[in-house]
Amino acid sequence: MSEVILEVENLQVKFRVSKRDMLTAIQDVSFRVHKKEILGIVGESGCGKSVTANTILRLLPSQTSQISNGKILFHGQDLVQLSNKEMRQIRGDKISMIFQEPMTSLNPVYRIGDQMVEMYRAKNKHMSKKEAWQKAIHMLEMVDIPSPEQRMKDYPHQLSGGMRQRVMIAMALSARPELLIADEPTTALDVTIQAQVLQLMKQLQEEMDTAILLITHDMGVVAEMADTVMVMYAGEVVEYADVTTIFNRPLHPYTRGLLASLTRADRDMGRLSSIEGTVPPLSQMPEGCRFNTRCPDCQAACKEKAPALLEVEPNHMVRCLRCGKV
Amino acid sequence: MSKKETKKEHFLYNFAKHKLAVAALVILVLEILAVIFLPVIMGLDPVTSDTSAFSAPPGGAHPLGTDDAGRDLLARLLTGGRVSMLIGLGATLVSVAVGLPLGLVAGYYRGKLETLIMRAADIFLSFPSLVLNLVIVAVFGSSVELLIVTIGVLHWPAVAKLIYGNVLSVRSREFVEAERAIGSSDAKILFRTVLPNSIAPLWVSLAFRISNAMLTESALSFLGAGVQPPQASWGNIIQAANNLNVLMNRWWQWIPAGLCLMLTIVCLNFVGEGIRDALDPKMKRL
Amino acid sequence: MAEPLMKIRGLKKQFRIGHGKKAPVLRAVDGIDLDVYTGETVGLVGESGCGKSTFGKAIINLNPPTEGSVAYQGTEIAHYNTRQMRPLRKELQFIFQDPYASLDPRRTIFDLVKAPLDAFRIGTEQEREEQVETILGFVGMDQFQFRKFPHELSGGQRQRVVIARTMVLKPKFIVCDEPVSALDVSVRAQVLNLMKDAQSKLNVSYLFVSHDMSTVRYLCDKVAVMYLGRLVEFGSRHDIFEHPLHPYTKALLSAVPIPDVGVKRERILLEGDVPSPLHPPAGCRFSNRCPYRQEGCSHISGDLIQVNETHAVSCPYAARPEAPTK
Repeated sequence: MSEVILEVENLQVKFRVSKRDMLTAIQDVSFRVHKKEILGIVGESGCGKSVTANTILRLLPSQTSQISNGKILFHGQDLVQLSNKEMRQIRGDKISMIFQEPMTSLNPVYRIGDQMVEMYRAKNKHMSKKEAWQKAIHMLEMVDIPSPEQRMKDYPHQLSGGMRQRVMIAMALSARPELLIADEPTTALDVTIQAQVLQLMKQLQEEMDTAILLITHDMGVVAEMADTVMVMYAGEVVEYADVTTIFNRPLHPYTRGLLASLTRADRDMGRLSSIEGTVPPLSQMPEGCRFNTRCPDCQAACKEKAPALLEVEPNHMVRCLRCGKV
Repeated sequence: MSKKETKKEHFLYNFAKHKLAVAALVILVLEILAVIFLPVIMGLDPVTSDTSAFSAPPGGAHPLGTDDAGRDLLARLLTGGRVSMLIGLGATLVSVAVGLPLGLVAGYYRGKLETLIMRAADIFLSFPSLVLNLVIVAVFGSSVELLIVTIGVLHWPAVAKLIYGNVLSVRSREFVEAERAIGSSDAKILFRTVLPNSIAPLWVSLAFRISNAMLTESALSFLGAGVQPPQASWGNIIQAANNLNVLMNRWWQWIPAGLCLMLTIVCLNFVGEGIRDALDPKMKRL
Repeated sequence: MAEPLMKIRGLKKQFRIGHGKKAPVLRAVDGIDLDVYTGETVGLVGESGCGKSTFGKAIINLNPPTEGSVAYQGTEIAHYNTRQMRPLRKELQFIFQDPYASLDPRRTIFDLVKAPLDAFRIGTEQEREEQVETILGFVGMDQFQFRKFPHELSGGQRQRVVIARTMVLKPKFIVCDEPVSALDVSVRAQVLNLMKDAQSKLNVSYLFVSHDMSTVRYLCDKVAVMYLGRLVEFGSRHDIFEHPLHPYTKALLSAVPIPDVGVKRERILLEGDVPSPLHPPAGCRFSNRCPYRQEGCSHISGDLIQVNETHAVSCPYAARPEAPTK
């Protein structure tokens, strides 16, 4: 396979909940992103997928959170060790990010064009205003925004959700980053618009050779977009394999449960099976395997020993005491 | 073990963390106990003149001296405090009694009633209330009861606006609509859902309202339109300082009352701050 | 055939944007006919802003309709005021999308579920309490959770409480406004199954308002597809999912991501966004985005045309057997 650009090793992040107490939000998170690869991170709310993404760009506030262990190697350089200033140069340039609700990341009182121009000029001091304006129009064209000259003069609220997300993508990709982190990029969009935006992302990714870290809760989106999939549960990676393996031969009971509980638009189905219970809060994690409170195959050993993420077959990692023996 | 109790405990716990507020509360409680019980216990008489001692300095039979009519100033300080606090508390109750229902109704029913009530509030607010107080006292004469009612009534718009603003935001929340959807009556929605969810800021403002009413009373008394001698209040005791000779030479006639008033106001404000911090949901997260 | 439980004819709901005579009128719902029979689930699907939630609130008078008729068990209720509606609230219920926002944060679970019984003074105090315990048990809440407050529960548990609250009155008709879209995937299945169970127990009818085609397919017997304030297609689940006729329905279905790997699907990508309901296109409202648009599209009425006993579509070109299948 092609060159590894991002390698995360044993990442652990803790949140401060009071003056004395810290809670572990994610632990033992390791994965690799290759050039041009789309890695899908899936899981339910609170599983740690967004924490993982924000940690890579070091976007979590340092007062309330702390990277307590692990490395984030970007081309071999550990991002955890970088100063804030060095980090700023990586953000938006080598690694960019788009968020679920573009409205919150666009400044409502500036026109789209002005925001884009300002961003280019902040990155490149030598660029003239005119050049930056032209570049912005070019980028908007690239993300298929009709009449970009007009849209440049609009304020964010004058654009539809789909258009705003396109603007965000244009801004994120304008420096041709090597890695794009997309945190639920289409969750706030309607399905027909989601289809447009996903297709756009895929097309741009192919043109620019960008790798994408796609964070989503939608298994359909993952199946369509991702090359590799990492399933997270309660702050840990529970299964990690290529997309075909995850969908056709899932091994972890959580992945299996998740897939079995999906409603489908393409066929009628009998009664849905569901995973009982809910994700335990961080402060009340069970001993042993974190999934043991909801697992249908839970055994006595699962309540005592926390399983490690093991490679049960080539390129298929599972965190389950029982799957290793299957 | 009900959850309501733990909520109360939570509030008390957070309040207790605010050291200044707790100290202020202790001082206030001591003050209240003092003004209620000390005059009775010590058998003090705030009205009768001691013809042997006009404007006597502290000492002997009069620990805080006497005023220029020969009345015992310790007795006046205590009974005056009783009156001042009574007015502060009473006037606040009146303004809540008037402002709360009006704000609630205006915010919940909207429409004409809302316009009527809120415009009335604006009109009340645009009058200089001190002047209005003076006029009322000039016309009807002055008594503690009248002062409680006038100060209270003149301050209703502040309470009404506070409640109104909160009701507006609460009534548009989905759980109010949900309440309507399950078929609850208007009265039930208003009192069981909207009111409990909009009243927290009022608790916070209560301490400030009391101190505000007490200050208004002293201002009126100082201007001679408040509590009328021989009855004492902190305001009309301080009025003695309305004279350069007293101000310079007879400090005992006004400094104790001034200090007490100041202390009470400061304490009320600290308690108010303590309540606000303890109710603040952001505090709960830590 | 039996009389429908709910017979809706020509329902319109308009909002004036701003004040004054010249303020533009937004036709959120613009003439909808729909029948709902006892014990069945009708899905109402469409994208955000199409007016589906407004319609749901209008038919049970939570937000009274501007025009049109709603006959509930043969009685016309569209013009009823709050007082006249009150006794009917027992039978006509509403489930909101966000279970957190729709539960009073200051009341306990038990209290919240008991409130409807109190509102209608059903039975003695003791009977009410017994009923609340029964229904809370039915939706899967444990005894020790009865005294909790909404914020102490997870999203799925809160939605169970909301369901218990609406079911405790044994209603005949419930409008469910996106009841599972705020929930995590694994919990979604639990709640959908609960809704099915409640339906078979109480023989209640649902109007299931949703943007998610897959949950609609799982839960609904009939489906109405809405676009910009009007219905474009109505039919049985089989009609809509296996033989969709309207180009919009087809596009909507093709845009839903399917959780399968390696299945290449024909995807109809729509151009642009939904136009503003303030200025809908003349004639067929979908005409400016329709891949099959032709000359006559801006002159058609947009009324549903019956294709067979169960299936109706607003597009005259799609209704005819020689419909374009390009």
